[in-house]
Amino acid sequence: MWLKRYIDENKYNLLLSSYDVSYLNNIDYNKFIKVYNVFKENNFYFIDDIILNYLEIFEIDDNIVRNKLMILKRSLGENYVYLIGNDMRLLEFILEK
Amino acid sequence: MKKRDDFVSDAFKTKVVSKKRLNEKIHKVLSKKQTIIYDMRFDESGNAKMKIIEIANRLNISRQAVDFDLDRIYKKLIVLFKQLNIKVETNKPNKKNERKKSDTITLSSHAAELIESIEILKRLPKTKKLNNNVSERVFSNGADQRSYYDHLLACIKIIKIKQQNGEILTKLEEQKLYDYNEIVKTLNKYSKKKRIVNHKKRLVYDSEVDALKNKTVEFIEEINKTGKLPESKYNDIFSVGKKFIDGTDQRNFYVALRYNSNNIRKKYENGETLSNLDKEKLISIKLINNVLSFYPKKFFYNKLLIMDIASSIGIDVEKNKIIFSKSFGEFYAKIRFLSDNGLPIVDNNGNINSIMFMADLNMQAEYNVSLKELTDKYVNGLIDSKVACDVVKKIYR
Repeated sequence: MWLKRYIDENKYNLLLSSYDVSYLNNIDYNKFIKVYNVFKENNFYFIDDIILNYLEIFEIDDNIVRNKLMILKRSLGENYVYLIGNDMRLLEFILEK
Repeated sequence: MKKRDDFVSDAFKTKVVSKKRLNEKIHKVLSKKQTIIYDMRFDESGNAKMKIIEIANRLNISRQAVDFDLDRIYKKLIVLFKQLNIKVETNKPNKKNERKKSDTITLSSHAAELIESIEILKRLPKTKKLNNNVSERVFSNGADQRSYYDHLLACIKIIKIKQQNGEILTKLEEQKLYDYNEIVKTLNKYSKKKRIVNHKKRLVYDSEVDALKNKTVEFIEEINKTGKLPESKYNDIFSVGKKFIDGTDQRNFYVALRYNSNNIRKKYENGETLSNLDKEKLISIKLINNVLSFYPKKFFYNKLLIMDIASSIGIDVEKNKIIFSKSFGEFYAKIRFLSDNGLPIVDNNGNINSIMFMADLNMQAEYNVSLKELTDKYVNGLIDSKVACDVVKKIYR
């Protein structure tokens, strides 16, 4: 499973318990890597935690994710990455339609 | 005082037959399952080596099921020892005398709660008897009565302690107390006989569980072949499956329930009178659907386990939906960490501790512990997630 490259073994085992295996096997790798790179560009240091808890975000179009992160940055300030790390519920804004 | 299985070790001490021979004869007399349980319980000299709860956890069955099998084993052993002329004293408690001595009958807390919840569940849907405000509150929230009542049961203990200490209750807490008292008022008190009968039923039920688990698979295969619901079997599966809300085999049970839900819902919307069984089915369907609606791509079995712990601790599940975004292992490990360090899980406003929605590195900076350390300590080596639920419930009882 290619997800193992992006998450350590401990978190991968937790991931297996929270998502159905059939769902994990059907994730689009190309979409995933685009969204992954968006988080990397914005210096997110906890992308593995986002994979563990909000894997659905990696199915969204990368441009939408980028735009929503910009909105979060404007509302929370320059320190927005740290604030999201303290309260990952803020990422649910990206999942909203 | 002698324990009920001390006679086994006594038989080995008499030296009428050598230990090896006696063990061989015991294994011949017992069935395969009984030999497994016997070998786990007793060593070569007939001394008890493992507790009944540990056996239940290893075999992934209930404690009552192990008790039931052990009773059967003891009866066979007594017969065998008689045949071999081994004289042993067996403790046969005189139940009549025991009852005369004390007027109260002690049940395990789990059995007592189950009996209460099942009895209450049967009566709750009679909303005419309930105070209108209470019934409106329950149904307007979209909550199930079952989950609402479980939530109340969990919260009431803390609220009553606060009352005793003379603390001021919040509005939410006063409302919960009122709802709980209103619901209890509508129920009749149970006679002692009913409690005994229900306790015995529970033991029998546990022993039939394994057989019924297989039936759900056959039941679904029948539906797939014929396209129709075999109603004669449905009642068996439902009455057992309802009690699986906290644990195993939700997938099969849920699929079976879903087939029947539309008809019941139509009746309910048309204002037709529902049988008690229909009401129970609706409530359990609603409960499962509520849980599934949060984070729909998450594995529902994982969410039901989290729901089980959250409702027993008193976490407001609708307020703190984020807990369903967690894996069960992470949620459990963090709950244990908070309890071991005396930290509150929920604040005064009912919001869950911020550790639940922190990233790993942020948690390390704040609490000086990483997710790996927590999972190594609390999750790795855990036999069963059901065991984990029981552990947390015991801490917060």
